[in-house]
Amino acid sequence: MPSGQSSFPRWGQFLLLFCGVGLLALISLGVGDVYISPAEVLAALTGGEQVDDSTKTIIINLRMPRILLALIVGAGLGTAGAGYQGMFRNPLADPFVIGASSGAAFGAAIAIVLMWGETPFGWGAVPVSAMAGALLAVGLVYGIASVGGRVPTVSLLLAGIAVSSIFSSMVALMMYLNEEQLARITGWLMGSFARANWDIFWPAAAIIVCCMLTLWYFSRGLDVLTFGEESAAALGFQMNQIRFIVIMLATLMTATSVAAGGIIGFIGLLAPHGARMLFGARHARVIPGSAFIGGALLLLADDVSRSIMDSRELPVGVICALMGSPFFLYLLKTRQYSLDAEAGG
Amino acid sequence: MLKADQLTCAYGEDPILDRLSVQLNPGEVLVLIGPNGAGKTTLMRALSRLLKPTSGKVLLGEEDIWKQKPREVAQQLALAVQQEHRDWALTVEEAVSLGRSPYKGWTGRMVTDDHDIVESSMQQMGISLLRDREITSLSGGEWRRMILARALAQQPEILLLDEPTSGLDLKYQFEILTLVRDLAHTQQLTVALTLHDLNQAALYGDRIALISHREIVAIGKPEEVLTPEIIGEAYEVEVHVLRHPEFQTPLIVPIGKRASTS
Repeated sequence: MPSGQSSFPRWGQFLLLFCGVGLLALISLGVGDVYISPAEVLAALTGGEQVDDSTKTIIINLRMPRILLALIVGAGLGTAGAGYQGMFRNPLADPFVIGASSGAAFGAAIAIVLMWGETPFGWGAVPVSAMAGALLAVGLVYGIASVGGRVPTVSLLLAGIAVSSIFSSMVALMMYLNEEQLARITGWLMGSFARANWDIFWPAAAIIVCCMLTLWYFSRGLDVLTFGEESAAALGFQMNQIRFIVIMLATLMTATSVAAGGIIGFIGLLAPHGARMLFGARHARVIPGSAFIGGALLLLADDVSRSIMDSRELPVGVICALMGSPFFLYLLKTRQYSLDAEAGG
Repeated sequence: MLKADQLTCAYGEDPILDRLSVQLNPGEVLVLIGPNGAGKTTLMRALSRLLKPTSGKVLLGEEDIWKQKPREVAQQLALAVQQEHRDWALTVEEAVSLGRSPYKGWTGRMVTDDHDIVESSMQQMGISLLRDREITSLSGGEWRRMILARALAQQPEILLLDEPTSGLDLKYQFEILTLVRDLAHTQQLTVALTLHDLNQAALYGDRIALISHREIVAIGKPEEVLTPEIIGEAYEVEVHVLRHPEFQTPLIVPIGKRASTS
């Protein structure tokens, strides 16, 4: 759909999407080992008498934090993807392109291998270490790519590939040398919301929402970048500032998402594409659009992961990749997202 | 007023421009010509605050351009670079609206005045009907007009265009150059542009500056600069210079490569 030619107003599209996500969340509250009907879910949420206490507990204390966490992590990954794609002017960029993923995996693996326990502020050592690993990797990439006060985009991408490779090799080495922890590391690397609770949800939501709003506030800088860095500079924008702000915000969202749910790919790649198809290319719309779509996609994937097999959950990262890859191939085939055209000019 | 004063620019160790001075005047089209690699684009980048000179300075108004903020510069000076990307499918109207960025920054909202300026810029460039088209689908000529409309939305006093006709067919080349000349003459804009086609330079330049060997070797009216001797020296080709039958401007007819003197 060419942007700007829709007869249906944009606010209407956003409202529909918002309602759709809300409906999906309501349905998701009923999905799981114990099926709960939408009427019972509504009764539990509104304090009705028709549901027993155990059902209320399942909904309020077990499923609600998990569903909200999946939504917020998906929104964070989607928004981070929109930020990275806009920043790198590359439709294939995603939250893990500059090393955040492998850094997080390294952080998590170290914490698992060294059997670090709890941290003072509620989160376990594994997510905190994963978050630190993601930030460390991106910090390294940024530092290596800086040349004389400038940070060229190509250098960032190349440094990202190299740093990712180093961290991935170290994770592989740790897995090889610590067979007894192999299952735990692998499980964590595949992503899951099985551990979700309110203590994980609130800090993750606070960080991700703050970053999303700030990134949205700076969306014009990403729009200007569509003409290239030189044109953006000629329009009065200071490129190094834009780069730093976007990368920091997107990385913080990625790191928080990884810390809260493990490593989950494809959402950051797919959500911005979906948002551009629905709302056009302006980042003021792509960013909230990516948040809604990313949240909905990840919630759907989590629903599938915990309902497709009796008595056990599948890793949500695997479901995302299984659902995401065909969709991405469909996009490549049907949309005019030819890399030649995107990179051309 | 935009002025380069004893400007030396380098990428790494080798200077591209060496103590070059030039002044751009309101209501005038200055065409920069010169062989490949002579430093035309470097001069454009230095004049628009994209490249910091190693010595000398660029004066915008009365002040050194590097002492002014990028946004302040962009409110006075618009640049269309040689190769612009078109990564995301913004609409034409959204793209032209970005010309208001120097006044809005990253966060400012467009108000009625901004929309009026964007509308008028699109009208001047004849692209109002394309407002909802995605910029990724524009033809070469439409794209150039969109870039010019974006530049006009900046409401600049100075317009710098680096090879604005490259990749365009003859019709669009003349269309763009006529539009630019009209802007300079009717709205008193200061315009500088780089061109490879010497005959177009003769037709559309009020003055021509020939850059060669890191400096301006000739500057003046087309008939003063476009002589067989000056062109032969700079481009190492033999040319005849005739009179344009319609406009009486110099008409350059190449004969062949100049015989080596060494």
